[in-house]
Amino acid sequence: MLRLENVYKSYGAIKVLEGMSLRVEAGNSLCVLGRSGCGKSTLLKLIALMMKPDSGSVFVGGKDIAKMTDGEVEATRRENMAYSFQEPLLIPYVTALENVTLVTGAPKAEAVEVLTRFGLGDRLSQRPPKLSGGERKRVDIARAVLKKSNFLIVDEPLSNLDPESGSIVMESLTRHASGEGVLVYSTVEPAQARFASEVVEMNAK
Amino acid sequence: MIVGLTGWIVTPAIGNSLRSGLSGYANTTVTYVIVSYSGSPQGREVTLPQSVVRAISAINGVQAVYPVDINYTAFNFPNYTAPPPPGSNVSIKGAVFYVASAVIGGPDGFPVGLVGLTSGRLPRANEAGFIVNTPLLLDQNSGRTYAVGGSASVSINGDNFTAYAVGVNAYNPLLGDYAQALWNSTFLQNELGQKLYNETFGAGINLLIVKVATIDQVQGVASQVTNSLEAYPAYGVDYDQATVDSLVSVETGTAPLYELIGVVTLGSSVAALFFVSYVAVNRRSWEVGLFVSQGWTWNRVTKFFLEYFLLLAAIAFALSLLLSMLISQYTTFSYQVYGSILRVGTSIGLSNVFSAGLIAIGISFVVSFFMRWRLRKSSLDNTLREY
Repeated sequence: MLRLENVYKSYGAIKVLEGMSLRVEAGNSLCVLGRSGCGKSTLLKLIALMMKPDSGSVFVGGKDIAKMTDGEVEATRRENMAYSFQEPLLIPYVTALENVTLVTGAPKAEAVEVLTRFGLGDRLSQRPPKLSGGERKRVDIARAVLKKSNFLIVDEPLSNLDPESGSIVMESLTRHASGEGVLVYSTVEPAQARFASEVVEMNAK
Repeated sequence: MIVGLTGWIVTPAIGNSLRSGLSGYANTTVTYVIVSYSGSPQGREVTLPQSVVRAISAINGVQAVYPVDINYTAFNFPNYTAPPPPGSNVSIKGAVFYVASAVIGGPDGFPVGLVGLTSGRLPRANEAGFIVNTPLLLDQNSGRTYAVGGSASVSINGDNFTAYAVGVNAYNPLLGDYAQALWNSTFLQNELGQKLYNETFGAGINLLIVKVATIDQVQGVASQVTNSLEAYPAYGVDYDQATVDSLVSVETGTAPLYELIGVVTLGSSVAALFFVSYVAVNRRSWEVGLFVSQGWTWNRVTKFFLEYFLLLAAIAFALSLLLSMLISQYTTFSYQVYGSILRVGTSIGLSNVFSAGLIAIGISFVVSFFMRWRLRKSSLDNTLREY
């Protein structure tokens, strides 16, 4: 279970989140919907424990992270969170397959299976600079999926993806939330919110 | 890092080689005090008794005393006319040239170390002796001079012998003379017959070569030897204090300088390595952020850093070792001593190679843990922002 209570976050004078509260239970999926620059990525990073709120509380599994030490927060993130970035974050000098196996430690066969399912079976040995934007995005998402964490947090999973690839990816992501997992993803397209059981709509500042 | 490790290995090696080379040279060759007759060559009737040899042998710091019997052979050329000296029109008619010959005057033989100074050799049983390759000593028949190691056939009383040239100024430490010859005493006794030999060389000791244990004892020993010779005012004591001072100066000045350069080179290199690592890791800190965001522990990140820097260190160490060996091959110092050239090569010390390896490993650890500390201090979001 994940809960945010009255969370505030600013970047200097720019207030990104003001009194944000939400709650997601295990086995559910949450779509964060909003236009560019409304703070979706910030919210997702707060949920993924990659940053701390200026004020308010973030509860993971019933524990307030504000009351945890840095080491405990790191351990909670490590054990519970898988994150896929809005801009694919891939190591340029290793192959697509190695970007997945090296970082996650996932077995090669399993990584090949997921990447192939994502339509990258013939791109496994390519390095990121040789991949298209959509292919890089799918490698980044595959890496998060293979981490097999309770919380799968994906920032704009459908950006740069054609409808067919997008369907395959979203099918894989929503399957994660069908069990005990939680899927949180963001999008700028209201139509893409249909994959989620809950939707949070954010307004541009 | 390659430059730093090479500097660390080579420059102290230069310093150490210089120090040991000069020290070895100085202790084996410059530590000689010479007692010689300073009067006319014909005054060789004044000889030194064995009691003086024993007294000098007992002086603290004296390692050995080599008594020598020098014989001067006079060549009279009454019809020779010397050209007038510059600015004069007066010619000198008639000349006497002296050639010094020496035989070992004591049971210990001639100091081999002294001959080694000029790569010379001692006369062996079937060899007549040595001729010295100086401009004044040439083969009167052919008019040629002899290079070091060269040989000439010498005919004495109808018997032919081979004489070897030992080198320029071979006996300057002993006599400071020009044309000298060191003879094989066994050969001379056989050749001249015991009677003639005794008449020529049997007068007694008129030269002492005193070997002092260490450089810093030379001056003291020379002073005490002078005291021992109070009853023999015709004898003087010589040693080359200037050369001793010069070598000690090089030994105590230049060698530590190279060691200092080694430390400074290493220090600068380590600082440069830190800076380069800092910039490199800073520019790619997003990778660390990626690893941490995907669940890597900081220990695993540190291990990753460590493996990376250890690999670089191993490559740097191997290359610096090769470079050091190459540089040391071509690093030779030459010193002009007693008319000879002393060459001191550079040999790489195992301790420097070993410590360079340890330093490379140490730097890898320090850089890895420093980077861990620095990146962990920064927030994950900031780290990822570098992408």
